[in-house]
Amino acid sequence: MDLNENKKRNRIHSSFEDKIVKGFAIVFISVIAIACFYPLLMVLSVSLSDNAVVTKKGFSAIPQAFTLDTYRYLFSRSGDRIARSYIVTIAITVIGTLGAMLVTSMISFALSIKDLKYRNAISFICNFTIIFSAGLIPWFIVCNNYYHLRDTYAALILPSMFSVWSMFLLRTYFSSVPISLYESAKLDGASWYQIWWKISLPLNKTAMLTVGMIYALGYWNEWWNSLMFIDDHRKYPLQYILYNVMSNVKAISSGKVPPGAAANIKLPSETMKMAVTIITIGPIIFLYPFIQKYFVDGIMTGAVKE
Amino acid sequence: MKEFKKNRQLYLMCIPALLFLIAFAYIPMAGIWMAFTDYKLLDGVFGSKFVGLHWFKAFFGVTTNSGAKFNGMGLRSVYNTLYINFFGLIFGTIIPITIAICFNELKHKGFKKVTQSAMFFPYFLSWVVVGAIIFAFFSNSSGIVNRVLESVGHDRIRWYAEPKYWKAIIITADVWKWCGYNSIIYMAAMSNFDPSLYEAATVDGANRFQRIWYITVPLLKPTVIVLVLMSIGRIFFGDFGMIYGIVGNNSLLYDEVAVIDTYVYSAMKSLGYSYTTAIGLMQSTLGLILVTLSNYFAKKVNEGEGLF
Amino acid sequence: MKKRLLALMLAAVMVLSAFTGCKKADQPSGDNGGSTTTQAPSNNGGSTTTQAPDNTTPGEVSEVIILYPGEETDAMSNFINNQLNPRLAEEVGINVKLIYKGWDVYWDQKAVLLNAMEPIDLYWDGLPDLASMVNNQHCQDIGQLIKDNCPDMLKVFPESQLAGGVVNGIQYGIPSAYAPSSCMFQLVCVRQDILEGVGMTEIKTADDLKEFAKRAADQYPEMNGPADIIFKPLTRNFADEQYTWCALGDAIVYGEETHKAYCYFETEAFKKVAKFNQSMYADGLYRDELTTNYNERDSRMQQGTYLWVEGSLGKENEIIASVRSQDPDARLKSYLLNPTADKYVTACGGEVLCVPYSAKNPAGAMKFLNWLYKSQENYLFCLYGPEGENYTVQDGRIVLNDPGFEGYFYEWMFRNANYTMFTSDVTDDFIKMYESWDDGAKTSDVIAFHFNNENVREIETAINEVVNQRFTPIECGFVDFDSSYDAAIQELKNAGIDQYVAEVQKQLDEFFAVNGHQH
Repeated sequence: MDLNENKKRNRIHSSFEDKIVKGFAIVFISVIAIACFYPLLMVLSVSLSDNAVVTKKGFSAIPQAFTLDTYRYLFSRSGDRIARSYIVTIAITVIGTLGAMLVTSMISFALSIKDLKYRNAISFICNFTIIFSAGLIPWFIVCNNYYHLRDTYAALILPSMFSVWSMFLLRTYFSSVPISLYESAKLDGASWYQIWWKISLPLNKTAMLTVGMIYALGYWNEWWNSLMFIDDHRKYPLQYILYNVMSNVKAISSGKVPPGAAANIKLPSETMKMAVTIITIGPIIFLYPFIQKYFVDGIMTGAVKE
Repeated sequence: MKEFKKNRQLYLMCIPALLFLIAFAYIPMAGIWMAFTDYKLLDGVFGSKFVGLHWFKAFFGVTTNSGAKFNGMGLRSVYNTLYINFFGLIFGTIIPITIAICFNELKHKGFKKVTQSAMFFPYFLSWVVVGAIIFAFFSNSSGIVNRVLESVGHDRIRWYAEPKYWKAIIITADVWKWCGYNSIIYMAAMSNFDPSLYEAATVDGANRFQRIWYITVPLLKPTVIVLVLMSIGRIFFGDFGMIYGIVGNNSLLYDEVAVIDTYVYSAMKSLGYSYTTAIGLMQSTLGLILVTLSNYFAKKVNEGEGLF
Repeated sequence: MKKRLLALMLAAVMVLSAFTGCKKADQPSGDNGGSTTTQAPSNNGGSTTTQAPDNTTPGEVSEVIILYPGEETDAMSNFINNQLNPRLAEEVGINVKLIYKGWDVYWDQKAVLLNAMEPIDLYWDGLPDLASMVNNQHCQDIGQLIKDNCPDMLKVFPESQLAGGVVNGIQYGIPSAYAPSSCMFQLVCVRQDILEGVGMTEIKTADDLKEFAKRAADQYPEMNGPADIIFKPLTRNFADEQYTWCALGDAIVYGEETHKAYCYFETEAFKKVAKFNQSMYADGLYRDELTTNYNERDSRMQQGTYLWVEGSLGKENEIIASVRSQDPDARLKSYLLNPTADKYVTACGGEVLCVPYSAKNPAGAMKFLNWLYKSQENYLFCLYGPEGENYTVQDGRIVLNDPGFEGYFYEWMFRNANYTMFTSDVTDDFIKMYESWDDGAKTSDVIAFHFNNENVREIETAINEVVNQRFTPIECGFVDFDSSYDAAIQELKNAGIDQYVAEVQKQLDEFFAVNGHQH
């Protein structure tokens, strides 16, 4: 009976502490979510406001003098380009992510096998490239003059195809799979490729999805390589077109523009900057709820079967 | 070579990635030679005049062709860079982990979906837009923070004229922008945890907090260590876009927010690309030393598993 | 299975190579056995190009690649492909292709492209930067190219204008903005409607400005005060002689009457400017952003809620459209402080066009410019398109069909006083003033002087640091002058300002020995 009472007492005790933890979790998450969402609301509302009012009164979460003019102007000016750039962006995101996941999952898997003697050396070789870089001009000369990436779709896909950061992340995820699973398969005569393809990848669905999402977002937001390599406006991805709209803002505030030109640069209004941002985020917001369930279902998925 | 025979397939699987690194990272690295020359366009990367450590001395204000005395701004920018990156790393690790853990403790699917989407949004905002939002909050006249301060009777603060607040604001903005994105990484890690461990702990009478503290956190160690070590390698690199997007060219705040990258950039017009390359080399070397040391200690804490 | 992996990798390689093959066919390299550019590795500054006379075979069209700041619009690319290039192909045998880089990245990209020896034939930059462009080996000698290819252009570019592009006796660039320009940056462009609203009629002195700001603060509380600390107009107001900025950004000035170089921050005029601005802050007439966001003064003015900004001739016409879009009742007018003092022409415009060493078709680039400047018809065609399409000419004025039309090639980049035609919203008074603006103006001694900073580069960096951190707040009047000035000057001396000024003086003396004084 003592045992039962103890258990009861523990249960009551633990449910109180449990409540604190749960309460804290709710409050903490809510605060962060609001802190993240409120500025987005501001961005949306400013994009739907009249620019003159915004400059006078500042930002607010409610549209002031509601108008769709900014979007109309943006689409009338660059509508065709934006439409085409969506296609370009989607294409490079899909192809790039698939290629990247292929390359990355192979090396992450290999490096997650603790038996591999030179894995630390290879890891060091990879990590070295995060720390050391040659700088812009040598990289550009090599890519442009030797690899002839100028004005090609390959320029948008290849340079970003392997991210060491993602590789290490995926390696860590892969490492959490117990080696016993692989060993039993090896005993059955499977090659490492088969183990990789048939065992490791399916087991690490969430991890693959996470790293895949990281790559996909990287490709979706891609503008740097387009800036460096692409002149043909039909190859511009979405972000680069939108980046150009914002570029005038930074130019002016940095003081680089000579005064003669500065007065003549058309500055995008506050509302324009925000509208551009919304167009950037737009598709993701629609897409995200669909892939979200994999992340929200968190700890229940990916259970290791012994 | 026995090793290569034994694990040949695994090494082959590493080849595509290594080819990428060779093509896009290692071959261009030959250009690091620019750090030791006075690069001129017509002389080319390898034909320019050799100047040794000249640029490094210039960074710290010890110039050779003048009576110019020591200029402390170089050191100051290193301090700023380390400060912002260090605290950014600490809070940028703790907060996403807390988010991930809290998320795990909640069951209501609708709530989780909505909040997770919300937390992800800041990642998509460019620093220019974040700067505009910060301005909306901290501007002297129409800023939200000042309006709130006034309503509780406090005086307005001229935020953009006061340097002392800005390291904190920048660090907060950095953590805020990435917390949702980073939390997903930890959530993915947690999805691989063995549920039977938790079940066993519950049976033994552990409450939620104890389960978190004694199971979840230790299990997250490998992920945390890998991410932290990678950040340490870059700890001497400031985020140029972030600083420029948030404070622009504000001369009053310069002392407090100038990081190595912005400091070097402002000198690039006079001193050229060799200077940028040289200082980049310095940032990289220091980062490498630091990460090697950290990796050594990490292996001690994590059963021999570090970054490399 | 190994086979499977191999198959996968093969597939990947095929996909990737398919994409590499997608690249555009190489541009026709632009010359037809005519001019050749040699990239001489160790030849800095001497003539490194050999130009052959124009021998384009009829029917062959060479390409001219122009690096251009800004954003490409559909309208502009249509214009170039469908209207400009056909005419150019027919009349001069060239086609232009513009490579656009956004303003924020224009200088970085230019450096990267030029350093990678990309075949750019022509690019724009600010004229004050010409010396450093020469040092960076970003531009080649085009003296002979101009003589061979630009007979028509030379008719509308006087020798004095071209001299602005000469460094060390070699023509490195074409200063392309030729227009009345005396008192550059010394004008104050004010909101005339508000000025009249507070009962004032004109601005002549700094005290007038202060009075204007005070009254506006009382009567127009929704206005935010001045947009700019206008240190150049104020310097004109307070200085005994004309100070012309000649080196190191805003730090070194040349006294036109004393014929010497000074550090601007050591002059008495600067002290007065700083103290005036401090008094404006003390009276609550200046807002913080004039100091914290100094570079955004034009954007502030264009928001329509500020009172005045620094400018040059024609400033009010340049920004009136943006100001009116925010405040439809706005009127702008420019005033010259200290109006009886001498007017000086200090620069050959603010823009320069250069040809890099990596250009494949420099002669083509020159031919393009020559064609543009051949006649007013060509000039207006490049800037606004064919007559009748986007505009009509009535009474010697351009009447835009759509007032929001931005034009094609930038007017400010190619402005030429011989061809300029004003739009219909510019007043006749302004045109009269414009045409006689440089009458009686003196030419600055340093109008064609370009300081070579090769020997003092590190000092320049150190000085720029001190100027940005210490002197900008003092100049803006944000910090107390008496307590900060001496320490700041000491830092400036530590950075090596005296040595820098001595170097400037030395180069000035050498320059005057060759070119003499203008007045």
